[in-house]
Amino acid sequence: MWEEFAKIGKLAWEQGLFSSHGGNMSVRVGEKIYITRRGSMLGCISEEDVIETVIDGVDSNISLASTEIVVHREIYKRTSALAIFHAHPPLATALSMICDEIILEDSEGSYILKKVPVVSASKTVGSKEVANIIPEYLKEFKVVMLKGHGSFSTGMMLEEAFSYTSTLEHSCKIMFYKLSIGKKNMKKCEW
Amino acid sequence: MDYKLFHINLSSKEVKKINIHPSILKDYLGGRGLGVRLFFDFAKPEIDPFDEKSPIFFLTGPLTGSSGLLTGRFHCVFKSPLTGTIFDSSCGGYAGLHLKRNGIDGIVITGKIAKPSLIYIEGEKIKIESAENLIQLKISDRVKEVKKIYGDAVSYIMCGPSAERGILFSNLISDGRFFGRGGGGCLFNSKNLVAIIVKKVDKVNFEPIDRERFKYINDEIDKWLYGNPITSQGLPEFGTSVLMNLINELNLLPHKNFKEMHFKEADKISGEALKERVIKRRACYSCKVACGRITKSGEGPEYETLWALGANLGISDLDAVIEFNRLCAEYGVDTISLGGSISAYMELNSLPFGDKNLVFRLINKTLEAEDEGKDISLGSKRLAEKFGRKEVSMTVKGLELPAYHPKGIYGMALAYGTSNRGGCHLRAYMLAPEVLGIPKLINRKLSKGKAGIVIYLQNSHAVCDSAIYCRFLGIAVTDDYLSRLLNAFMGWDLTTVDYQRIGERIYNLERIFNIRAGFDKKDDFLPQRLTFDEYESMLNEYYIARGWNEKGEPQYKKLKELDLSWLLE
Repeated sequence: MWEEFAKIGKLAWEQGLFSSHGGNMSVRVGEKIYITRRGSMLGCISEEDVIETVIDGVDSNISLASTEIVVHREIYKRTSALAIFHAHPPLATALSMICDEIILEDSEGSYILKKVPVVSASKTVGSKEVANIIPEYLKEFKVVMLKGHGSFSTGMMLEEAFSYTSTLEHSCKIMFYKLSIGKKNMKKCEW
Repeated sequence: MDYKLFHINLSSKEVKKINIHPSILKDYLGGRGLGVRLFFDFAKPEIDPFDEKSPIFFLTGPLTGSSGLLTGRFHCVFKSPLTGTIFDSSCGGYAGLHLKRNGIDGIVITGKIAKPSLIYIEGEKIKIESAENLIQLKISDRVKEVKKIYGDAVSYIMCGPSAERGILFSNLISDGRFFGRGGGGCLFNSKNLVAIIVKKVDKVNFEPIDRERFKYINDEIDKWLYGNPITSQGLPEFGTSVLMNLINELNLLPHKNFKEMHFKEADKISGEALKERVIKRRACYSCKVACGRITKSGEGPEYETLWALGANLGISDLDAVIEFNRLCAEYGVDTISLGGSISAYMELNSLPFGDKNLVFRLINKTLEAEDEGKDISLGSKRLAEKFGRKEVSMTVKGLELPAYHPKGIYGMALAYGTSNRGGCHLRAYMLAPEVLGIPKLINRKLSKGKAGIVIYLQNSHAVCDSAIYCRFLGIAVTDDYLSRLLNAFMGWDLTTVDYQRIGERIYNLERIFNIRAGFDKKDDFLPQRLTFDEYESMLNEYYIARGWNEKGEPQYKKLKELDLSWLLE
């Protein structure tokens, strides 16, 4: 199973979806969660970077699991997700600071995601407040942005969850280019 | 929200309208879910399927008849005489649509009438009339007779002569489309019922509560159907037989009663080959995909038939398979069960695979239920038991397995084992993630973690069969589109997680039905020939993920969580 984590982690790192030690991801297998180790580098995951823990209750592996385990557990308890991908995509995170929801306008984004809600919390890392808010939105949306922090996306499998964040960031990039260029800078050509 | 269900008691010839509490509709939607829920009100799961009190339901879903794309299907629910499990079957014929346009959401039939009869429905008037003139006729002649009396503007559900001959895998047919699998035709015969005739009604608009939103989501779904190569090209071009070459190349095509996983002549009976024989395509109501194929011999064959009566038996003569399919349609038998039972018979008697004249003879003998055909007509499980060689039957819970070899596709293997209606690929269509890459491709031979995906799809498909929309819609769009579509139509505000919960409720209720009907953990295993080392651990993982005990039984906590604690009262 860790090979799948390594594959997705490497691709996400190459896409710039988080910093060297940012982000985390997990899959659900029955009542267990396999989640990335706290402080692991998702771009080069090895076998010992994937930690097995329980959804409900406490076990010793909790000390090794990602800081966001509290959010992952709550998502698994309250949604039908089988995989979670959490990242810090720069453009989507920037937009989350100025929008209440991100409406995707390009073809890929509008087909796959349509819009992504942005939620706020006073404490944004590993917090129970975040764990309480995020799952509600993931019942209806494939990705949700935590204002100024990053994305949480879910799926039946890790690759699916990853793909939604990848689509979000790509669409935000297109939106950024569009806004940067501006219509007034486009020249007409009568060729 | 009102659901007009009519109870037709053939013994007393009474017709009664039954009120269904709105909360039941919100908990079970319609179709399959509503059928299994209402079964408990009519009879106990222990009932003999041939007992005259055993009910058979024909139920539409909230979306049936709407302008929602691919929502033209309806469901039949009963206890199967072939498997002894709860059974539901989906059909693309038009009778469901016209039932609804006549102002009827569903009917349930119990009892037994002295002489062969049919039910005629026009508006909310339901009459029981003689059908003695239809007995022993082939389906096409039955249809001609019906139209002679009732005119062309009728839709029908009927059994074929196979039901009167006691063939346990006799199907029901509606307007040329089958209620596949499980032996619903036999139940008709046990009640002396031959057909249900529904007067066609011109367009009736079933308006969504949120019309604007419904249209918006339906248009979005249309974009996906158009953009997805499977729903816009593969299925329209080749029908379901698009799978033949694909499955064979992956070494997943069962051959010689599942002894082998590849048929070297599969391309001769593939979608590409069939295309040359197709004279037109056929679509269900509100469908743009049109996966139905019509050859000069009639509707079909579908992929599963090309496999069951072709690749599985070593037959690569496409015209022969088309003819076998025509015979099955005329007599009203299930092609997968027939092919599975014949292949078991051939193995039991060391008969050669690949001999089309032999297969032709065995099919004819089965359809007439004479000589060796009498044994085959019992289905593969009873046939193998009669020969004292249970291991030769490629079934789960008595249902002949379909066209994907479980040794090469582990998620599908678990889906076969845990299917509530017996070995079936449609309870959790694992072909989507394991072959077609929907939503993403996963390793077919990975065992760990597959249980969760199987459960997700089982729950999701239970909603699909209750709402009701076609399984192929799920190929093009994710569940959230369908939740939003249903919400807009019904004026509800449920999330995709709420719908998963509805699916889970239906699946658990079906499981309880089967447990009470006498099934247990041993019935969740595959035939010895098809099992593999990891299977039992996958099954245990499945039970844990379902929240069931180690015997595969839902416990009080789970039942309470799903609002099923009434089962314990």
